[in-house]
Amino acid sequence: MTDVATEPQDAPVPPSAPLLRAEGLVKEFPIRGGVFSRTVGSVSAVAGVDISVDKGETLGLVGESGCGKSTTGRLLLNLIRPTAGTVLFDGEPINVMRGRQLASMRRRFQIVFQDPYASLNPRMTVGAILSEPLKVHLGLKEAEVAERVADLLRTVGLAPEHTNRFPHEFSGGQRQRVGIARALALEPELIVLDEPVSALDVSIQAGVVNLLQRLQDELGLAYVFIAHDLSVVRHISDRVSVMYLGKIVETGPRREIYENPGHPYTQALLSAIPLPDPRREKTRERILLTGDVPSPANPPSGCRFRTRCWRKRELDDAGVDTAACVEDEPLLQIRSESGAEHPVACHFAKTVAVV
Amino acid sequence: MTIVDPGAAAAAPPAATGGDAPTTDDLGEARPLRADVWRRFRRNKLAMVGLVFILLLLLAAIFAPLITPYDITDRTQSFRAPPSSEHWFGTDAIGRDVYSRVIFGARVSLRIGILATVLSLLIGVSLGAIAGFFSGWSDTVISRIIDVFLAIPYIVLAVAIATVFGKSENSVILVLGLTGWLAMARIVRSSFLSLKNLEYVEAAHALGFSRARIMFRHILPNALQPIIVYGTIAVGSAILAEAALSYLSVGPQDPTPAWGLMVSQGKGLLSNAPHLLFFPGAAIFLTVLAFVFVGDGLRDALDPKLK
Amino acid sequence: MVDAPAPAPAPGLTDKDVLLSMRHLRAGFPTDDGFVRAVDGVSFDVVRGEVLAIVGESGSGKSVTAMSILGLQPTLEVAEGEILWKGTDLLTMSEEQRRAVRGKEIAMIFQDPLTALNPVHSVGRQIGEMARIHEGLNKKQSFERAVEMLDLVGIPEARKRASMFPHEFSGGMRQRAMIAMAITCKPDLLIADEPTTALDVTVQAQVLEVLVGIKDEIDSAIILITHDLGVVAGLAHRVMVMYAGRPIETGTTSEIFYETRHPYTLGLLASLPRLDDVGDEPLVPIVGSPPSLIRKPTGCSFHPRCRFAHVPGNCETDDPNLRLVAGDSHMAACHYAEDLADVSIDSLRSSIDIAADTELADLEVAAAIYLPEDEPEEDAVVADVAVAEGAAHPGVTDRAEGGFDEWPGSGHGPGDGEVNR
Repeated sequence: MTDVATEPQDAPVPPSAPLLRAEGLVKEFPIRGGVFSRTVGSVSAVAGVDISVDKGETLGLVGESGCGKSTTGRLLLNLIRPTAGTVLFDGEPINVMRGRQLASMRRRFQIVFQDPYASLNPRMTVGAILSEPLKVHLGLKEAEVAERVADLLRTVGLAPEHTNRFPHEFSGGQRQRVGIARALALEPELIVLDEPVSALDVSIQAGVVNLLQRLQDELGLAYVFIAHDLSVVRHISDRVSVMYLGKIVETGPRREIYENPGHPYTQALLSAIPLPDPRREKTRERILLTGDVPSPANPPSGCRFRTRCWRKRELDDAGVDTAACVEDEPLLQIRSESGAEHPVACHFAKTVAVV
Repeated sequence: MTIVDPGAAAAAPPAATGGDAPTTDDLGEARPLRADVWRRFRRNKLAMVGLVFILLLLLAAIFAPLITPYDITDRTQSFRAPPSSEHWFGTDAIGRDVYSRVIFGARVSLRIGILATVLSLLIGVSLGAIAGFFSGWSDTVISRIIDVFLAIPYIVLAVAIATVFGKSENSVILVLGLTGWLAMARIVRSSFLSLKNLEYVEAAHALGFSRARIMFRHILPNALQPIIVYGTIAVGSAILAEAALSYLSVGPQDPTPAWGLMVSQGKGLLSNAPHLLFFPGAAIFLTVLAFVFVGDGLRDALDPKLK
Repeated sequence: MVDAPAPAPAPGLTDKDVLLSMRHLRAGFPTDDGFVRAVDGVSFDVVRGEVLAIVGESGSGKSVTAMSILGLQPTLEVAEGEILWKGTDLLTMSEEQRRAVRGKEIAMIFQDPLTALNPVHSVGRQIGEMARIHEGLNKKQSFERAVEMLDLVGIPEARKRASMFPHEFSGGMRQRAMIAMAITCKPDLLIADEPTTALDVTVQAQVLEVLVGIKDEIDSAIILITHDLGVVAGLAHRVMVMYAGRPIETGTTSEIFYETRHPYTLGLLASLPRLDDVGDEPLVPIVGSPPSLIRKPTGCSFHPRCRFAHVPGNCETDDPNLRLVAGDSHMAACHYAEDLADVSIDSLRSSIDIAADTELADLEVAAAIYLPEDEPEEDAVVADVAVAEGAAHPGVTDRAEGGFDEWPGSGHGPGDGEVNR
C-alpha cells in the first residue's frame, strides 16, 4: 500500500499488514431539537474515510477547520465511536471493543493534544499525571514508578526534579512535552498527534518537532500527525492525506503531494501558504478560493468541493461539461490521466506544481 | 558563570496581562495552588472580616456557657428591660436575658445552617455529577426533577414536613436540605458538562481509566471551586431560611433560642421594646453577611488567574 | 540603558512624510508579582503608504505596542516616551482629541472577528456608525457608505449582507467586514493586530489580498502585527523584530530575511519549516523560553538563549542598543551583529548534526538556567553545552577568546572540535 519513498531519507520498510487500518469511517453528529431533544438532522463530520498507517511511519492528516481531521483522529483511537466503519489495530477491531478489553488495548495507541493548557489536569502535579497510567495499568511499586517518571521527563527534555510542579508553572512548550511524556508512558506503538505544535511559538515548535522525530527514530513509533500547518507536516510526514469537508481528497507519499498535487483543493491550499522568502513570495501566483466552506450539515451534492473549486470554474468558462462534479461523487483512486501516481478524488484531476 | 539575573530565577510570574502569555521557564519554588489561594484571600479585607466574624461566632457557640451570665431559660424579674450593664441586650417578655439567648442561638443557627448545607451538598453534588457526566437519559430525568422541585415553594414544603415530623431543628434541617440541593445540582451539572470535554479528561479516557476514576480523580477536583463558593454562601442562606421558618413557627419552638423565633416573638413590640427585634435580627444579618463575604472572597481567590 | 535614536525611514521613502513616530516608549502593567515591562524602549517611524510589520512571539510586546498607539488599554501605565501622530503627541492629548483620531485617522483591525463585532447590531449599521460619528452622515448616507465598503472588501451581495448580523457571516467574511469598518473613513494608518491568525490559510490568503488592495485604494499605511514570517515576507516593506519588549532588529524586508544581523531573527528563520523545504532539513530551535517581562536577564535580554553569545563577556553585562549595522537603515541590537554577515540559515542548519544534539542541548540549558543550585563548570557557556557523552571539546574554551571563526555555521564542520548544538 505504501509507495517506497524516492527521496533521500530512510523510508520505513512496510511490513505485510499495516499497524493501523481504518476503512469507511463515518461519524455523524445528531442535531437535536425540540423539547425531548429529538434528532432533527445530522452533521456528517467524517463521511467515509480510509486510513492506513504502517509501523514506524508518519501519516500527515491535513486540512482546514471543519474538515474532520480531528474527529478522524479520535475515531482512530475509539475515543469517539464511529457511526460506521471499522478500525483495525494490528488486526484487532478496536471500534467494537468495550470495557477492560478496550482499556488494555489502549496502551498500544495514545494521543497528544493541541492545547498545552487544557491537556493537563491543573490540579495534579506533573509527577502524578505521569505516574497514574503506570500505576493503573502496570501496577508498579512506588519506587519503580518514580524512576520511570524521571526517565520519561528526561526523554522529553525536561528536568526530572520538577515532578512536584503543577502544570501552570511550566511554559507552553514544556507542557506540551509533558503531554508527550504522558503519551509515551505506556510505551505505545502509535500516537495520534492532534495539532501538537499549533499553539506553540514558532521557535518552540521546532524543538518539539525535533523531539517527536527523535522519539520516532529511537522508539519506532508510528504517528498520525494531524495539522493544518502544511510546512510542519512536510517535515515530519512520510505520507500525507488531505481532507476536505469530511472526505479525503488526495493521499500519497510526501513528495508527490507537495510537488505534484492533483486535487484542486490541495493545490489551492499549498498556494495559499506564505513562504518566509520575500523574493519568492512577491512573485508567486496565488490560487484564490471563492466563497465559504459549506456547512457539514448540508454538504454539496456530488463533489463536496465543487462550490469553491477553481478548476471547475475554469472548465465551465472553457465550455467543458462539468455535470459530473454536481452529480457524481468522485472516488479516491489513481487516475492515470491526471499525471499523478497517487489517488485523487477529482473527476478532472491534473497535477500542477504549486510550491 | 553566566546564570541569568538572580531575580529571574525566582518564582515564575504568570504575567498574563498585555496579551502576552506566561513564558518563563524559571520554576523557582514549588507553588501549590492552595498557597496562592490563601494569599489572595488574605488580601480581600471584607472576606477576612467575614472569616474572623465566623470564627468568633463558632467560638461563641462552642463556649457559650462560659461567656453567658444566664441560662436560656433563667427568668429574672425585669421584663422587656432595655439593655443595661446587667443585661447587655436587655430582657424579653418573660424576663430572660436576651444576650445569653442570642449567644446560644448561634449554636442553633450554625448547626442548622451547616447540616442543612451538608445535606444539600451530598444530594446536589451526586445528582449533578451524574447528570453532567453521563448526560442523555439520566440528565433529562434529573433536570426535569430539578425543574419540578424548583417550582415548589419551600415554605409550603416546610409546613408540610413540620406537620408530619413535628416542629424541631431537625425538621428544618430536613426541609432545607431537601430544597437546597437544587441550585447545587445545577451548578455541579454544568461544571461536569463543560469539564468532561476538556482535553485532560479525554486524555484520561485515552489512557483507559475507568469512568469512576475519571469522575472522582479528574473532574471533581476541578469542579470544587463553584461548590466551595456556593456551599459557603449556602450556609448563610440556610441560616436566613431557618430564620424565616422559625419566624413562621415551623421550626424549633420555645424555649429554643432560634434567632428567627426570637424575632418573631419580638415583632409586635417594635415601639416599646425594639431591642427584642434588633439583637436577634442583627445577629442574623451579620452572620449571613459574613458568610457572603467569605464566599465572595473565596470565589475571587479561587479564580484561576494563573493559567 | 540609553536608547538608540529612532531608525531613519527606509531609503526610497525619505521623501514621503512620516505619519507616526514612536519615541522611547516605556510602558507596562502592574501585577501581583511585579511590574510587567511590556514595552521597554520602543522607537519607530511609519511613513505614509508603507507596510511596517512588527514581528515577535508571545511575550515580545508587539500587541501592547500597537494598542498603546490608540490608548486602548486603560490599565497600561506609560512610564516615558511619546507617540507623535502628524507631529502631535497622542499620549498627551485629551481623551476627546484621541477619540477624534481613532477611527478617522488611525483605525484598528483586531485578531478575533468573532468578538470584535457587536452581535446585536447589523454589520451595515456598525460600519456605518463610523461615518455617522466621524463625518456626520445621516442614517441613509452611512448605510450607503457601508455597502460601498463591503463591496470594496469583496463581499458578494454587499447590499443584502449589510443588513445581516455578524453571526451570519463566516470567519473570513467577518474579518473583511472588520476591515471595511476600519477603512470607512479612509484613515491614514491601519493597525492590523494579527488579522489573519484566527483564519484558515485559504481564507487568510483572501483576506490578505483584500488588505493589499485596500491599502493601494486609499493610500494608507499599515502596521501589521504578526508572528507569521511568511505573511511578513509577502506584504511588508519594512520589518521591526521585537523581543522582550523592545525592537532588536529593524530594516527592509529583504534585509531582514536575507541579511539577518541579529541572532534571534536568525534563530527564528532557522527554526521555521518552509513549505518548499524537501522536508529533511533540520529545524533549529531556539532553546529556552522568552524571558519574564518582570525580571529580565542582565545585559542583553536574549543572551541566555543565544548561540553566539560572548559569555563571559559584554553580552551578559551590557544591554546592546539598536544601532546601524548595514546599509542606510538596517539596525540591530547586538554587540556582534557584524559577525553574522558570515552566517546564513543554511550554514546554521548544516552545522547542526543530529536532532538529538539539539534535544540534549535543550535539557542541559534547562538544567543550567533553571536549577541555579547546580554549579556549572567555570568555562562552560550557558548556550554552549557539553554534549552528553562528556567528550571534551577544545572548541569550548576557545570560544570565549576566539572570534567568529569558531562559531557554528561559519563553515567549519563538526569535526573541527566545534560544539554542535
